[in-house]
Amino acid sequence: MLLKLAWRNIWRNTRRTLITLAALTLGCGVIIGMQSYSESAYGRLIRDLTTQMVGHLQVHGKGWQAEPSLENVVENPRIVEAAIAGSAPGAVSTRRVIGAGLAGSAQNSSGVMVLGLQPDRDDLLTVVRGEALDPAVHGRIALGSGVASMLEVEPGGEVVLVGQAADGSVANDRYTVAAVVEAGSVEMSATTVFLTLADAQDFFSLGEGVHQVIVRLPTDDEDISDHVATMRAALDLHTLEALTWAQILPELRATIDSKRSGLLWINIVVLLIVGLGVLNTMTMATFERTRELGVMMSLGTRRGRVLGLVVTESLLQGALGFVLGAVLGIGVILAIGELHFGAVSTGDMLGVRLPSTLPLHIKGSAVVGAGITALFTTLLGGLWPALRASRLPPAEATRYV
Amino acid sequence: MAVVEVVGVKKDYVDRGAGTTHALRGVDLAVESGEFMAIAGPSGSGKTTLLNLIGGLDTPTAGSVKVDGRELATMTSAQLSDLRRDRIGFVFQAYNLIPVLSAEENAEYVMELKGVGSGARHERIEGLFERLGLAELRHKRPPKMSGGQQQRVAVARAIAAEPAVVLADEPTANLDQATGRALIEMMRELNRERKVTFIFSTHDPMVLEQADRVVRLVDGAVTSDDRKAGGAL
Repeated sequence: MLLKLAWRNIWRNTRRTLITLAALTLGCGVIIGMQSYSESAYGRLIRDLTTQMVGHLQVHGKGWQAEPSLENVVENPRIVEAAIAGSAPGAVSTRRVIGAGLAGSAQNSSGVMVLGLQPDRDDLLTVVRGEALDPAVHGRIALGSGVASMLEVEPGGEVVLVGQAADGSVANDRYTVAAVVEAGSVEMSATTVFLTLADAQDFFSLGEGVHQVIVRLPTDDEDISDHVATMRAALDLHTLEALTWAQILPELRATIDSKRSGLLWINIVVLLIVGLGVLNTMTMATFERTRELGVMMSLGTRRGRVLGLVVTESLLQGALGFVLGAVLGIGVILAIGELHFGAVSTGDMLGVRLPSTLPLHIKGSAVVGAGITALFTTLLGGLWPALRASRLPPAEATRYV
Repeated sequence: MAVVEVVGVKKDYVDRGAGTTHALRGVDLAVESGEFMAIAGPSGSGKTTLLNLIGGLDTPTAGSVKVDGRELATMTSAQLSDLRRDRIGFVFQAYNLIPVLSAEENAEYVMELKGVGSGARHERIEGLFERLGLAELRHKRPPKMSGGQQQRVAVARAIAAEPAVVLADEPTANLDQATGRALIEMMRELNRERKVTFIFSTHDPMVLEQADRVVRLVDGAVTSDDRKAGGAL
């Protein structure tokens, strides 16, 4: 009877209820839509970051992240990879060498970063023109698109690299341009040339040593702390350091956290406004029914039941608004499906290339969060009028006109 | 045994601007089970205040009110609610049915509060509505009913939970003469058949004519207490 009464009561003033529901629906829909969009974007950004650029975890020679130097290497990357394979089943690792040099062509020269990688295991590069590097073929180089423009070289052309090797000798060699590539960020494409790992180790006289062992976990979860703890336990951290992507790019982590926090506050403000609407509706609804509530108490309805009735009316509106809002938010996300920002994205976010397409996903946490918040807000909005109604003196209330 | 016992009851209303109003000035009243009595008096004489005190809707400034032998002043809000639910039925001048409930749901509401099961509720409602000639109104909501129909449903609601006493505050005030008479006759029959105690506040001569006992209030004090010869007592 309480539920029946509450349901019928909320439809006594259809227009008022529809306006309240519209506000709740929009509020929940916007929250679900916005949060799903932003979480899809962060998820994609972090996935690109972990699968292409940085990995979930990187192992370096101790202190390399703070002060990168050519000589500070992981001397035996095979042992590191074996330890990781044993502690994190399904994890994939790849090695990189990073140094600096001068690249010259017949037309121009430019200071560059030299990155040696395992092209068959590393997803960092996207070939724009030419052919991908082949680990079995030596003497070939891939140029970041910006470097290729600077040097005015295309695939098939030649480039000379000059630098300093780890043993102090002058490193220099001539390479055939295999490809012009885009890398994980606009900055990287503008400043970096890429060699196979073996060529880079040879160029810098590193032997088997590498600067980074990049580990990718078979998960899209953002929280990888358990995996990281297990992997760290398997490594010799006296001579090595093992850092997560968030430790390697703390500005990006902080930016994502800050944007999430900003969105949370926007959500709170949106629902606070909706909550005030519910408060107004329920205050009016109980005010208009003062006499009726007095009569109900005269008939033997306990104060708690009157309180329960008004709160139930509030929560019913919250639940209905949430369901409609969820349909709206989910419907819009599903209808859009994927956002396209152009063939190649136009920029970086703190050193990470923004994706050119963004598939939108419904975030369960956004839906659950909107539901809990909508119910909590309507509960708060209905509580004061409910308390007021339950405290009415019945004799006075029955005389109310 | 007196179903209602009022001893030395005073009720003052304090208004900062207008000072203190003495609504009741030491009323004594005992109502036996099965009585069909009226509290008469002009407007402002304290009739409604007295009914409110008997119904536990208000508290006296001084004196004692007992219903079924229980002192209302010592009861909590929840206990008073339960007493009204279990032992007291109310009929209001303005009907005061719950507008979103149908006639039968209005009557069912009090039984549901009392914990009567769904089957028993429907059975009792069917009998009661049949008895009161309300069968065709069962599924109608109050806004679709006339004043007389609403007041008859209000009486059905008041007695549905089988209370010891029904308090009716000027039940005929908003009804025309014929409808008012039919309503009082209906209540009279319920009083005779089911031994339900009725206490009216009224200044309607037709109601006073039907009552077995008339207590007159003037300025918050009982001025007469007349029992009709051959009445219920």
